[in-house]
Amino acid sequence: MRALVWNGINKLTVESVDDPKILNSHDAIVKVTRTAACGSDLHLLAGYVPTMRAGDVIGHEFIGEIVEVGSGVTKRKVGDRVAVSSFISCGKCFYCRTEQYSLCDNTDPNPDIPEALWGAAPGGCFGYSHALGGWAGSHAEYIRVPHIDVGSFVIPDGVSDDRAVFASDAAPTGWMGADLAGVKPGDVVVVWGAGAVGQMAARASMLLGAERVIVIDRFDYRLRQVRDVIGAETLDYTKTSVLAELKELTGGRGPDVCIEAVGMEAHSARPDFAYDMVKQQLRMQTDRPTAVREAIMACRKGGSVFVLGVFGGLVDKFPLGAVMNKGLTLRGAQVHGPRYIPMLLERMQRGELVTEHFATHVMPLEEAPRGYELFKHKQDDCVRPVFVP
Amino acid sequence: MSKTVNRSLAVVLATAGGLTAQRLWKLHEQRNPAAQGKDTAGSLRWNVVTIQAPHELSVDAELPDPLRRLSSKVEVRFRPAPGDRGVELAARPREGFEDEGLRREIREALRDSKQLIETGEILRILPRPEGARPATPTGAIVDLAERIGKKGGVL
Repeated sequence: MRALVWNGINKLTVESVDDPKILNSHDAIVKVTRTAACGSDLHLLAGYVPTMRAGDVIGHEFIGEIVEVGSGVTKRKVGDRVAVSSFISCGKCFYCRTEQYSLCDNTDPNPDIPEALWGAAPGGCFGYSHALGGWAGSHAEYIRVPHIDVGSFVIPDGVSDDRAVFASDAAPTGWMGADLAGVKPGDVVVVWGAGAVGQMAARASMLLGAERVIVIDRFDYRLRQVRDVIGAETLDYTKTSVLAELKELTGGRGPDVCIEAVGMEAHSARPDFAYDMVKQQLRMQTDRPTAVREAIMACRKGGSVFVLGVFGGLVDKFPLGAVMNKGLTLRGAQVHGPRYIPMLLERMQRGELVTEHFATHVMPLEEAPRGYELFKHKQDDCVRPVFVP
Repeated sequence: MSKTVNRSLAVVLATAGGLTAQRLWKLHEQRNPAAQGKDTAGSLRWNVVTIQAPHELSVDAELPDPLRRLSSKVEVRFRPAPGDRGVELAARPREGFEDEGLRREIREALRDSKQLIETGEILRILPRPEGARPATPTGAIVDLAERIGKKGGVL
């Protein structure tokens, strides 16, 4: 089959690779019909995730049709059109039973790597380096999905492919940020990052009753989507002092909830961005915590900060004093897909959750390297490239 | 030098730095008896996993296959976990068999036993679709980490 392969830093090629096989009884093979590039894939592309290996098939956000099932599959059948969670979950361990699906105990065959990095291993994720299991990704014609009964959900009739593909990862990630940050009616919520995940966190906050939702970014075309499609307010951080602006907008308090949807390659107009950049390039820190730092400083006393952006390791100049002295709640998580996907698909069917505007560049899989180029450099107003194998 | 070469060099340097740090850590462990597979009382340390299973499993003498294979060299202990978290399955080398190689086998056996009891089978990863895997310094490290995947870590 054809697949998009990572061959080194900023080197992606579409190649012929072996077809996936059923290896466990709970597996299924899914014929991929849409697979989106995610902002977190850009970290793999740029070499910021050191456990990538030349030859890895990447991609973790996808929908498709089940074409083969293992003997132990009971809830899904050949022919089902499904959205599949990016993280793989067994459904049986303590974490899966408590709906913390991305923390699954049983789906990372290389727990030695995350245990050395983080002290414990979360679950495996499709196409996201050997630290998260070394699973082949979804930028391919076919993909093997372990535990298909747990991680896949039948897409309701009437939900288009371009809308449904984001039920796989971006929509549940954004929703989880708002949910686990504790957004409630009356809250003022600020989201850092106007990509698909940030926009979904903003929309979720609105649906959970937030009184005001403000999204921060530097790309006008993304901020326009926030205003026109999501219906939230916007701030361009290159044109204002974010901290001063947020103080003024929130009656001198600061936001009740701050959601960071940026990750380890953050940008900022502040001087600490240059500091983070130099330290990251010299590998004296693995990640740029620029947006997280700003969210913590902006947050009101007693407020809540949620880290949705992907981070791999260690950061410097972290405002721990602010977390402690301001009494903040600081949380983060990889996406607990199965906890949210069924509800999100229903909302998509009812028209409450619109996502197809993210798919600004739908193209054949053969053109995926060009799609990543557009996405990485934010050319041609690219929000997300979506590949059709 | 191009940006990519610079970055590759940075990755290699960071990897080398990581290996040096690991070496220093090992030296620290050799000087510190508490880190050498012994607890503060001087007893051999247990490796433990928690399994979502009924407490009755604690009295079941039937060992899962991966641990039964090691039973001549390894002692095994079941006990109820607190707060409905199932059962704690612990293993450690028998007296006289203590070495790092056996510890690695114990970690893998515990992880496989947990998977067998919780999900009914051991998850396989290979063969998987992949492109060419050229030999590179950093690639060798990832390949090694994957080879010892379930034997390493801090379990």
